[in-house]
Amino acid sequence: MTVYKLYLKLIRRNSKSILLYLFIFVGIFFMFAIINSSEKTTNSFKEVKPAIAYIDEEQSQLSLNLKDYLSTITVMSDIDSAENAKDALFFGDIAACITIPQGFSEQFNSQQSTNIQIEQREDESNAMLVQQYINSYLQSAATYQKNTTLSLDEIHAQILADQSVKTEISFALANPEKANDDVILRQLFFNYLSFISLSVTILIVGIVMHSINNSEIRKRNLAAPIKSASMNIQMFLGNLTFSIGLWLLFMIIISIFSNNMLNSVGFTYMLNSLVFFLVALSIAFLAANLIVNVSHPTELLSAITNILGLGMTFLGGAFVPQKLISDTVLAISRFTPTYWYVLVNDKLVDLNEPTLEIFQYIGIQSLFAIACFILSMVVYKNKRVQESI
Amino acid sequence: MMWHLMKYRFKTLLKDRSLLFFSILFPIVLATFFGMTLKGAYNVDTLKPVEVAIVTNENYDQDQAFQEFIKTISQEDGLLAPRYVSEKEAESLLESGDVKGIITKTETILLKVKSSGIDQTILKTVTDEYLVKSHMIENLLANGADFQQLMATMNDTTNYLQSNSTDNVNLSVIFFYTIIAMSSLYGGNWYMRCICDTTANLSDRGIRFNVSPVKKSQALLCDFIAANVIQFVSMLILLAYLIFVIGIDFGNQISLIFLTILGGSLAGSSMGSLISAVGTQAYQVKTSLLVGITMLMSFLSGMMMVQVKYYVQAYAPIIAKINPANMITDAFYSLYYYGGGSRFYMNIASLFIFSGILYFISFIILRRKQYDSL
Repeated sequence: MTVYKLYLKLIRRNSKSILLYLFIFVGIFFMFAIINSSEKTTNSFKEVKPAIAYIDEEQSQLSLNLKDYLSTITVMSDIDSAENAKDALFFGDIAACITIPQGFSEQFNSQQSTNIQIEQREDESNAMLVQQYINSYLQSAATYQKNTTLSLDEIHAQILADQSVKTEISFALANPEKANDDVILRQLFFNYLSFISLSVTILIVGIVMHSINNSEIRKRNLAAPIKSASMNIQMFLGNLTFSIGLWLLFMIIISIFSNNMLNSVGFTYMLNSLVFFLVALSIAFLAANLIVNVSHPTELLSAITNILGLGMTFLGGAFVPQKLISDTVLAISRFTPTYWYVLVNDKLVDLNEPTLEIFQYIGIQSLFAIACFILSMVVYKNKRVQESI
Repeated sequence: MMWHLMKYRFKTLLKDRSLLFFSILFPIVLATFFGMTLKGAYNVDTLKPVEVAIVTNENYDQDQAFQEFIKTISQEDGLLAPRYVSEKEAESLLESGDVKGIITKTETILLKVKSSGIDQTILKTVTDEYLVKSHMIENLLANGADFQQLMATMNDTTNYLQSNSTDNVNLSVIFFYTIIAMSSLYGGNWYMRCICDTTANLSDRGIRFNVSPVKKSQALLCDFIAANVIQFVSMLILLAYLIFVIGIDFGNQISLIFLTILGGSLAGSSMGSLISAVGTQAYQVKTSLLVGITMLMSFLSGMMMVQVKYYVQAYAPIIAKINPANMITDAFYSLYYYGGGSRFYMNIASLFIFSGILYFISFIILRRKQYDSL
């Protein structure tokens, strides 16, 4: 088992890089988890409250009343100038910026149409909702003014009182237990896992296999009294140990972050990721066999790692959800194993039990693994033939 | 002598394949993947009429005002796209997701929905509006107002607002600006390689160099020029790729864009300079340090998630002010969204000041380096 032990020693020597990647991954994932944590969906209907900035240049009775009304149905930010609002609008922190110009009350009282400025993204839903709210309030106020002799404050009070007549809502949430934080966190974790598993596996397996297999050392080893089949089996076991060890490590991490793993869906996630790790291993094996004769592989390997890792995970939809990717790109990404991996992860969010479809997708991933493995055998044979000439 | 130094420095740098990959090819590859997936990802929810099922029960048939109201709201480009169906059909439409909600006229109005979102909120707003207005009209009638006038207000569509849509609001451009920022800072690798080659405790070549009679200041100056020229050119290549192949909008003030790129290159190589001057770790470690710091700075300027840039600006503005990646990203952002202006010049000035300070510190450190002659 000397080759096997050597393999493990080499992994330990490279452990700093592994730990660095791991650390960065867990750090970024943690930050994503915090930023992305949505409110727990309750079992009742929750209105969307658009965020707005309200800039009142007039500060009249009417504009203050309008502000009061809007604060009940929107989230008012404390941005106080149009300049600051522009950034907030760009980044989506507010849906619209309302500016009440001077002369607003006079225009309203003389029953002309006013021109409250609203700065928004064109046709954006939340902003249109805000427009609806403002128009509704002012229309009601105008009606009261025309038909009664109430003062502005009394009109305001009356409008607020009118709001008490509400529609009855009947809410039928499809899967009440499903839509919560933990499920989304799990999905995110496993999707991002595709990137880290591909990168780390290709990099480390590439480096270690190169150390054992590059032509100089191989020729020396071939003189040793170990069967070459035994050497190959030990290396294969080494690869497998590394891959499964890494997988176990990540499973432990997710079990710490989420306590939703001990059910059939959780196990399906784990199975999916195990198959994906094996796919990554076979890709790494192929890459390692291709660069066997290069003398300083580190840079070439990190180039391959980055390109393959980033490329496959982006195309597969691990970072940008698959439904936001255009169809032509999706057609290409069907040829990457990450596409099927992410597809399983996304589908499992809405399910309580894994279905046959899920296992079919997992099967497709294993086809990738088998294909890469066969290819690497072919490459290996070719290199051997080249060597012996 | 200077010419000789510069010529060979150019040659040495351009032959370093891994540096070439990371400075030029890697950002292009990254930009390609971002471009394929992210370009359309941040489009806003534009308002489409919300599909809703209106149950045609007895109450509905008898209420003319309600029918009128729904008709007015569902006109061309209106808020609703109603389907007038029976109760059972409405349920199955809601189940299959063909409609977002069911409106049934009861004593008041019953709205049935399956989830909480903007479409459902719009439905609720519409029904609330009807109820509130009817309530208001009843009150006013009871107090003796004119009926015809009141009925007109039911369908009042006066618009009190004047909307200004901002253009240039494609959020995904920030990703591409951060790619430029990241590759500017990665470009510090070029200068770092130069310093490594001239510092005795970092490489064998450095030892040879320190023994030779070449003035260190001359060599550093030549390296400075060579590294920055190469970096500037590689940034231009990346910029051209982003503009012409991926199609990112940078505004149209070419000279200001070049100015930003120049500032970015200087900032990047100054960072490389400082990291290689300080400390005695090996070259590989310094490279990883540069990569790590660059990643952190790019993250804080919005590379992984665009909103991070905004939050850092809002809640920790001091970080935004001293982060060179943010200075570069923000400069491009102000060119794109604001068309230049004082914010842009502030960022450019910060970039040059940042580079100046870092170069100054690293030159002071490098000048006095002496080694034991053992």
